[in-house]
Amino acid sequence: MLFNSFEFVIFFFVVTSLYFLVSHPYRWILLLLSSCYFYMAFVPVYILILGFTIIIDYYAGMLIEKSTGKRRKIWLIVSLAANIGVLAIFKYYNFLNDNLTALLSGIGKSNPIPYLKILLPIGLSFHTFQAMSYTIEVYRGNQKAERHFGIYSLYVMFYPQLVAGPIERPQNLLFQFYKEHKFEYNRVIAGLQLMLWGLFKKLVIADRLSIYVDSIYNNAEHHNGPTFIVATVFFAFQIYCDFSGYSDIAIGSAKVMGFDLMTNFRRPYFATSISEFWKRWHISLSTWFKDYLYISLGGNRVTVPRMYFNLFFVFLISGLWHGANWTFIIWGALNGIYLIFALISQKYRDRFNEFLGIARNRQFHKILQILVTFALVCFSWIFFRAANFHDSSLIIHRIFTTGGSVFIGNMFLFIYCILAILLLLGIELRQELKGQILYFNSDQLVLRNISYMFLILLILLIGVFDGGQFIYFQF
Amino acid sequence: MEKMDIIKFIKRTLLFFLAVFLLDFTAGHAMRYFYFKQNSGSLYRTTFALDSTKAEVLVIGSSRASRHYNPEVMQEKMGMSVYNAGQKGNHIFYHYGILKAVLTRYKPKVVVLDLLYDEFKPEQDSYDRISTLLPYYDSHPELMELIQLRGPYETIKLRSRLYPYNSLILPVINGNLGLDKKREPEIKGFLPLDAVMADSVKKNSARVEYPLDSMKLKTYEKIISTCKEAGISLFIVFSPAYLDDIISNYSVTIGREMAVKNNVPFFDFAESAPFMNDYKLYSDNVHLNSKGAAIFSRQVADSILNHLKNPR
Repeated sequence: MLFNSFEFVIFFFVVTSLYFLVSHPYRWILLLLSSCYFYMAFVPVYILILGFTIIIDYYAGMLIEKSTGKRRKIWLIVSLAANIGVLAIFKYYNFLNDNLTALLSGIGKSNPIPYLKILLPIGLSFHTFQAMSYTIEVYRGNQKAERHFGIYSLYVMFYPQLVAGPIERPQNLLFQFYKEHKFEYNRVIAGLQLMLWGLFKKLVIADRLSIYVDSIYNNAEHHNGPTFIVATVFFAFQIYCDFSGYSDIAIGSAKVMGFDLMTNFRRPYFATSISEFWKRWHISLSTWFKDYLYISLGGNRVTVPRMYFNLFFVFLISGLWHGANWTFIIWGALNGIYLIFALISQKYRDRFNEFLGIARNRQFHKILQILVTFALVCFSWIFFRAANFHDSSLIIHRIFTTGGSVFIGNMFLFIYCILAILLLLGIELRQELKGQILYFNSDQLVLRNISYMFLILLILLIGVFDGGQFIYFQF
Repeated sequence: MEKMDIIKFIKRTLLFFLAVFLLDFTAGHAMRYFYFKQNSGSLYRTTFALDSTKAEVLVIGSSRASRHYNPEVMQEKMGMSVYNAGQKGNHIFYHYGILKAVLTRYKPKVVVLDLLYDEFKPEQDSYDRISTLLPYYDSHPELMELIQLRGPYETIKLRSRLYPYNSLILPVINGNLGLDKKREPEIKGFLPLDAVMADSVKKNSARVEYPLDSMKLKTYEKIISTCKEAGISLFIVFSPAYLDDIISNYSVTIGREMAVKNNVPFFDFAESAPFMNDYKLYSDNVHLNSKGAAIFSRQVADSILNHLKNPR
């Protein structure tokens, strides 16, 4: 079930109303059943995979807690192996097999391993990572093992964040299922505000931009460099609005029922460096990798070359997390390289800026940093969006070697795209400076309502109602 | 406290929905007013085709129709009035909608359906594009059957006054300001293209079979049966395209077979001279330029006339 569907409007209304009508001890049953229904609306049979990992992790959590020494580690490995195993089979098996085939054909041999005809279960990487965070935290002693099977299942399956995050931590979410949430006017309004803002980003911006971006990236052979630059900038805003829009709806719908999910995006295109970008983009995943992989590898408390390796490795894996395709791996690696280069060159860049006098004009320096960061991020998005390595190389080659005029296609669509981006930047700049979306937090009821009406009017007027699903569902 | 919060929420929600209703009603009516006030542009052409044309020969189809059939050339040859109701980006559902709506007003003598290559391929976009007919849902109830193909909630969505005009604000401004008159001059629905294709490279038109969209096939059959029942001479035409192996396009093959089965003349210009090898008659691989359109319009008018004189 998509957040931007009519079905979800009905689902959300029914589930939320029932949530406040049902007495607290039974609410987890309602949430679990509705989450199952929500997930089964995609491909029903894949709930069995979820069921498999839930059972393994539930028992692994208790066994880890009970055990000491090596046995504790063994149970953790069992849990991680089950989760990574599911990911490996459903997400990476055919990719690895493809590469093996290419490798063997290079030496004139055929690959005897068969391909699997399977569909990737929706949101697989999200819920397996959330499940893994549970057993790791129990292993580390930061979280008590959950005894209530239903509540644990709900921790993995809670519908707002089931298919595309935010990837929660047990310390933040599990206890909330035990808390009785009363109907609080301000909280409900805050949740609905976020949902409206998320819907606006998805329908008015992301889905509108996707029409142009798809028409260019899906016909890479026919376009020139300037067109690819425009399409890539559009894609940067498309993916941001698509994913952060989803996150906002997820966080908002949970908030209405009284749950606090972690913030996933903080206006990433206002970042002044790549490292800051990653503190603002997909925060729940970045912190997951930091907490469970980077720190496990030694983090910063190692030699400098080893730290660089750790950084690079984490980003490489992050790329692989996104998809079983070399383009995602390159995208991840590129971001790792950016960060390492930033660390190495920091000293020299500071001196250079001082020499040119850029650093003295703070405002100008900041704008310059934002633009450079945005350009670097956009360059990496080429790999993220391109269908394959061939297309991404072709696009980069065209960007650096061809000129000409930008392909406009449908003039109205192009104007909508530009207006949508300018509107987003205006609203987010205000949010960055004043801390609120439009006048959502104003004391004046009229101003608040005008803000809502403005977004609703734009959704009805220029929202794309025939748009597809959220990009991150495929991960 | 909780009870008070709930009461406050319900009260404010009701007021909020009332405000949304008023906003939707006002903005929707404003959009409707300006939509039907247009006197040029692509949206206006749909309104004209549905509500005004009384041409004896009606051409229906996609952008290929609107770019290929020059009514003035055809009129001169045929001695009958011609209107080109082709609309870019639209598919068989739209064409059927035009036919149904026109038949509530008058009966054209001849209908020319320009069949699109890959017309019967299942594509969500063909259903999304039915949105072109949304502004007419209340003035043309006969179109509801087609509008509902967009999805199960279309009747509910149409409770909104603004919904039918979604994404149309810029085209409506354009249509009211008459900007298209200069940018894209129109001759009785015909939109000539002046550009000449840059090179003679033919694009591939893969010779593949695909699962056919049963709803599209059914709509194609409905066009045939509607014309038969109304006593209209229907001609189905596959107009020229500068594509490799276009003659064996799966949808065209199916369309031809169904036309033959129903005794409807099917004119296939896929490999006819001079269009097969002269790229200078095209503006791009799938659209003739004005020079190509003039030649094609003469040829198609001749074929129709011949058939009307000597029906086979």
